[in-house]
Amino acid sequence: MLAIRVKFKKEGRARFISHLDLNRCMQRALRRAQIPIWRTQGFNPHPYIVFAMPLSIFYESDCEIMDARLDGDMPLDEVKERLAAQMPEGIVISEVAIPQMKLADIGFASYSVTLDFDGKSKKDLDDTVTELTAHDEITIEKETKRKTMNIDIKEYFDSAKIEVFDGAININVTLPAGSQANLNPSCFVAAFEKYSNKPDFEHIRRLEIYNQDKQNFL
Amino acid sequence: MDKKLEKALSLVQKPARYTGGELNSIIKDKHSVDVRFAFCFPDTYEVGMSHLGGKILYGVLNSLDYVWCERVYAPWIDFEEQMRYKDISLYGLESGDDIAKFDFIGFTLMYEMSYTNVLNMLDLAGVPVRSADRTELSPIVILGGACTCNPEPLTPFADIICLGEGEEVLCEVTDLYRQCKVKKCLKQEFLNKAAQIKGIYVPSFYEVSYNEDNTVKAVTPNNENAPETVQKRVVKDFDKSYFPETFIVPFLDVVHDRAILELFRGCVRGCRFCQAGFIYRPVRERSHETLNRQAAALCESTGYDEISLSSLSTSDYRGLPELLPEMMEWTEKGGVSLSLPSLRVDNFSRSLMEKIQSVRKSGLTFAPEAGTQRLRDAINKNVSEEEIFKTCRLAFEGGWTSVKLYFMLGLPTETMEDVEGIADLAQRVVDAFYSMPERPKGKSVNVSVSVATFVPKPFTPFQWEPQDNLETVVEKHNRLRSIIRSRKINLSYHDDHTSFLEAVLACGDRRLADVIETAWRSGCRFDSWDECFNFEKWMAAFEKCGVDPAFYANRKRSYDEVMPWDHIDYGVNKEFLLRENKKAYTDETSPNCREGCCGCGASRLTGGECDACD
Repeated sequence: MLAIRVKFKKEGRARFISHLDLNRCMQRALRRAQIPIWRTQGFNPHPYIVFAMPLSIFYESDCEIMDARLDGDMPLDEVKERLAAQMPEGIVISEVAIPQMKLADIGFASYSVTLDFDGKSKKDLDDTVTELTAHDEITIEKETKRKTMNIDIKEYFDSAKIEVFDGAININVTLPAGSQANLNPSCFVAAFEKYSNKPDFEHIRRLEIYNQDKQNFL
Repeated sequence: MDKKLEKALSLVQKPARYTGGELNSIIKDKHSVDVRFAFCFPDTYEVGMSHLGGKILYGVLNSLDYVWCERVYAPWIDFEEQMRYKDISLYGLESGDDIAKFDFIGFTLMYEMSYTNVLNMLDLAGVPVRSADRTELSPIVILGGACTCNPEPLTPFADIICLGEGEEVLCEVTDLYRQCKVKKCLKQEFLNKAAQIKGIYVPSFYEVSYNEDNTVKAVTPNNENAPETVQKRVVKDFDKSYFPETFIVPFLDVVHDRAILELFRGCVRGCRFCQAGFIYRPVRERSHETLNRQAAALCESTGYDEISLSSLSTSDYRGLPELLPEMMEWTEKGGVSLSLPSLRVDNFSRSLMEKIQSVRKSGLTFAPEAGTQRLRDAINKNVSEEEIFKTCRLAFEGGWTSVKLYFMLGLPTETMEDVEGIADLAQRVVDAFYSMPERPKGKSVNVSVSVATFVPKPFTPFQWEPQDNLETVVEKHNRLRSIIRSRKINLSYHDDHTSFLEAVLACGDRRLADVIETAWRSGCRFDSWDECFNFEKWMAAFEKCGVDPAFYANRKRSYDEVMPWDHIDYGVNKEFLLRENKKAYTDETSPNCREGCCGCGASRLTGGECDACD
């Protein structure tokens, strides 16, 4: 049995597919592709697949990760080719490889967050950003399963690369990700809503996943 | 996708209902097709995507290179709100283009409670709901599906109506339209020609007159192209008829998310309350070789791991002993499970049970329909008590502990004794479980009793019968609830108001169109959904239009009354239905078609041949 890691993009119309639906979609794609994936041996056998980090619905991504196990011989090139042929619009298989790191090693992810402010000029938005980042702390509410807590995300504003255009602000940022500490990039939307104006719309794209040492996750 | 739509989608639940892009959906170049067809299902995506007829017709229409058929489902209330607020028109899922600009807007009508959604979808598309207000050639609003056996309540909204099976007639209609479009014909010219196609009903070509007592006097053609009676269409060679090689595979978890095989059409049984048992006649089967091939192709192209063998009364399929082993040769290896959703009690055998069980175990459902043998005889549900218990015991021995029993309340000739018989039968199923030494150990039995209210339907022997009025229905429900003692029995019943409205719409005439429109304009839609159904609004609509719903639902019709659908011919003739109705009153059963032909008349549709009696 050989562990494999599938890296794929999820974009365009596919961003409306929820995590649960993506799971079903992949199970069926693996069946159609006739790739010998190891199946669970329980009451209701199904191909065993694991996704690294659930992507919120509406987000796009360049770096989704699905792990599976091969139960039979098939070259990885062929796995990639067969699987790629079965993908619906918006899901693009970019790589099939042997995993180098454990899923638990994931520590960070980078995102591109584009916030639309309809009708606002570049100058207005420059002022908004300057004003917002001048605060000593930028606290937003984060809801967990048990409680709601206030967290300060000022450090991420400082480390982010922020570009301002007419009608939009783009934020390129690396945030903690994974099972230990995870911060959803929607915190930037919340910060703007709290400290200035609610964006009219947001586009979020996950760009890359890193391990605890900020090396590309392989 | 434009930003307006994208924003709307970000604010609704399950946006994947509205985005298309599913595997196997068909994308064509809109500039290279002549006819664009919006295939609308007037309910949510999850319901509509489960409909086999829609998959067949989508495939048939798209197999024509000059047609591009797209799917449209009723937007749920949250998205409708966004659409109206942001001025988004109803669009086809494949192209995203507004369907108002399409050549055809077709609706499939599978249940009466979806009628207001038809109007709502036309309105969301920006198309006038009444045929008379649509003067251009396009869009042509075309209706089809089970409910069109009595399409009268919807006639003012439709341009043309397909009666019977759509596989062939839709192609003929689109071909005719294509010629008319090239010649820049007027809508009237197209309708004149369409009325000459077999199975096509152009309702505006018929006048309805009424007697003083409000019954229908006559339905007469007012156009020389319109036949006096319109006969439904059937596919003659069902084995060779079109069946899709592949299904669209949805992302969302839809109601029936699996491969479906259609074993046969029609039903040999003739239960007297069952509309499906009559309107799909004559019985025509597919060969097991064809079915096995279709099953394999479907699983391969969709990745589904479940196949449902579908038809009315599935165990009546004669090829089952060949089909099941043939399929299991590859399904077991591939981890594909089989399900047979419609089994009859009487021929549910041990070996059949084991075959289903070998892959996955699901619940057992039986439909005795009535609580006493007398009433089962009267409705011609030819299942004996002995058979019910034999099957239950078999099931318990096989490890099942949960049995679901379906009944109908308010059937013609029913007495309180028959109602009590339901509770009695359920109790004896419980007792049967505990009397078995070999019952599943350490487990408790669970008998679910689900009670529906009888709804009289056109083209059944009970089409003349009244539905119990609401007070009687409630009284019977209460009686039933009061005599069920065992905690092993769960009782549930359908909403009385829904069943009442269903009866009105099923047996209605053209005068109901105003009521439907009034109800819709007052906010009614998704009437089959509890969270949307508003009985008070419907009653207000009847009041406003001066129509008495009880006239349609609760009135016994005389045998010589002209039915609103008498100008429509679904194969089974009225004399046969009448004979069957009379037999109900003497508790006399009729044999099933294979035991002896009762002369329903449907075989003339296929030129005398009938699978059931050969």
